[in-house]
Amino acid sequence: MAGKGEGPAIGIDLGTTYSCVGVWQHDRVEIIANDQGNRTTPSYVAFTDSERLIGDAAKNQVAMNPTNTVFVFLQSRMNGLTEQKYLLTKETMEEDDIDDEEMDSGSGSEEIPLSEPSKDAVYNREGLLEKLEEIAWPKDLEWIHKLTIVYDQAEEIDVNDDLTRELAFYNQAVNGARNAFEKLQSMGIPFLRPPDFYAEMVKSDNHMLKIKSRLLVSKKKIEEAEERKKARESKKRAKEVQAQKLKEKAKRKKDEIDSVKKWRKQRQQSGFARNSKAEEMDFGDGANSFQRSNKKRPGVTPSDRSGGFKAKEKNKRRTFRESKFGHGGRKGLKKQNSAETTNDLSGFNKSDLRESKKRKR
Amino acid sequence: MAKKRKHEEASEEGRKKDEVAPERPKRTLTAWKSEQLEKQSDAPVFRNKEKVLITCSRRIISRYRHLMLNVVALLPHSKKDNKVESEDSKGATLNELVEFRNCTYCLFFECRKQKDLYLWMARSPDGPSVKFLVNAVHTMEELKLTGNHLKGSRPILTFSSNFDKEPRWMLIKEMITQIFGTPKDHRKAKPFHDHIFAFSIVDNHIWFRNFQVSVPHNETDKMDRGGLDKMTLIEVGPRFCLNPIKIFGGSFGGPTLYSNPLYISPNQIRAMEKRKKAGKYVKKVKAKTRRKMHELENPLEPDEFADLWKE
Repeated sequence: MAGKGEGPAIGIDLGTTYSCVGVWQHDRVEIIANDQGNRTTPSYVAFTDSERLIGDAAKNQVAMNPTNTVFVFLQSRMNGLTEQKYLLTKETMEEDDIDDEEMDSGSGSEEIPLSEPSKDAVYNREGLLEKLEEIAWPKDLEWIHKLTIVYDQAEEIDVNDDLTRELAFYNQAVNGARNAFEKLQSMGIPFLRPPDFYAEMVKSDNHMLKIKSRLLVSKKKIEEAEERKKARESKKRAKEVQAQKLKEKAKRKKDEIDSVKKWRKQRQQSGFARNSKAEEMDFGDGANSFQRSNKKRPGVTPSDRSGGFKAKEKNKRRTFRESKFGHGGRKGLKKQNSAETTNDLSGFNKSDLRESKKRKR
Repeated sequence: MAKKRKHEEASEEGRKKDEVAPERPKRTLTAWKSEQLEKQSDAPVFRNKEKVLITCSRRIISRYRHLMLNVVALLPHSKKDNKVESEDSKGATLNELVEFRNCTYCLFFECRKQKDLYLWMARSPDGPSVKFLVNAVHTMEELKLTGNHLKGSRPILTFSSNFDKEPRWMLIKEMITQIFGTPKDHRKAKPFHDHIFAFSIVDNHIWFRNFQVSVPHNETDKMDRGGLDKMTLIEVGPRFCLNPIKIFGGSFGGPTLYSNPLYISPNQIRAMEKRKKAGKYVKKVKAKTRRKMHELENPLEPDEFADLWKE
């Protein structure tokens, strides 16, 4: 302003309730009055069927024509509008109305505070650097005092991806450890713990035992699960093999029968089959084995399934025993005591008792 | 007596000679003292004398207290103190306490509402101090972290490169190196290196990890050949993630040098969630009334053919 302050400057204040226009002229500000002579104009726009009303005129007819009047027109919305849109028409107003309603309904849920940086945050760089200078250790300090390693992180890490994040930390640590150990080794001082150096550890032995047992348990669980899986698979395979075998067996049988039938047919066709009975006996084992032989066995009843072994002579000892103990099956009440047997003292002998007493003495 | 006098005379003679002859370097027990060494002895020898006081607030929950105890176990140059009431004037009491215990740094674990843990890192007596919100806490007691290392061995500190990009991170880095680095030749420190701290900035948070370094070796000052490639790290714990809230000029107070513009307090987050839940109902009611108004404003036109089939 100070450099080229010849021309006049115009400032427009679009307030939420009132708006106002000022001009910088002759080194001072003049507020321009509107057609009614007021210095401020109400921020109202209204449409009737024929014309567009602005300011006081619009405000006065709010009560009569509320649906076509716009007020509390937020300044922030104005910022985004280009000049063309700046001239309100009826269409744009309607659009705005819809927007307004949507904003209202959504405002409760979609609001996220401070998704962008807050404006009143403090960042005093000079002060921070000053403090840093104040507390910092000398710059030419030997590395052995600090033991710090800086790792150049390649790219941005997605925080929410646990695996990549942890991997990045691990990589950083591995890189740092390698660098540090190289430096320590080049210094030639002992830095690795000898195996016979025992000292207190960060975690107690008890705790480490717990960790170990947990590891073992988890390992065992995994092994068991694997074993189960293997067993299941082998069972499945065995089943398949069994099915295959049965199938093969059936097929072989069928093939054999077929071949025999074929052979017999051929023989019949060729004509010399009927003559010899001996030949028929030969392949008896082929076809006839499947049929029941209706040959009668001597001395065997047809219902006897044991093949006649039962009817052969009965063992004497067996018969005696059977008469004494019965031959299987329920004994029923045969061997239980009854009133008669208890009253029967025929087997009792007095002298027996006496003898036994004497013997005891 | 005579001997002594003789010696004095000899030294006097020597001095006289020295005035004439070019100066000879001083003699030590084994060799001539070189000039460089002499120069070094002139400069004040740096000695790391940082001591850290570690306390927590009253009514801290066990998980966070265990975290604090883990930190105490990791830092042999730390002193643990009783719990401190977490009130507005805690800064003064803490400063007094730190001075009383002869410490230069203070780590104060402040638990609020039995939920949120804040960590104060303060240099005493004249600042600066940083306040963090602590997230994602895992203590060393967890059984999944299988590593272990010597208590009191000096850790190697690794920082991601983005610590050097902004003044706030640079300041925090310096404080972390002074707090978490064990002083050389500290009386409780072990002379071996078997673990490493990783500090990494991801998403404007500082993530802390502690790994055990295992390298195949037979000697104490040399790794086996190819040992660097065979080096593996096993995590020891604890884990935590620090979200810086503010940096103050003084210790536990003073002018604010930095405040995190992206920080939302956990209280705010909880309130927002609650409001979100409540908003669901409000939204429904609003939608209902709007529908009703709409129906009233635009009544259905009477159907001309409604009683066409009625006869």
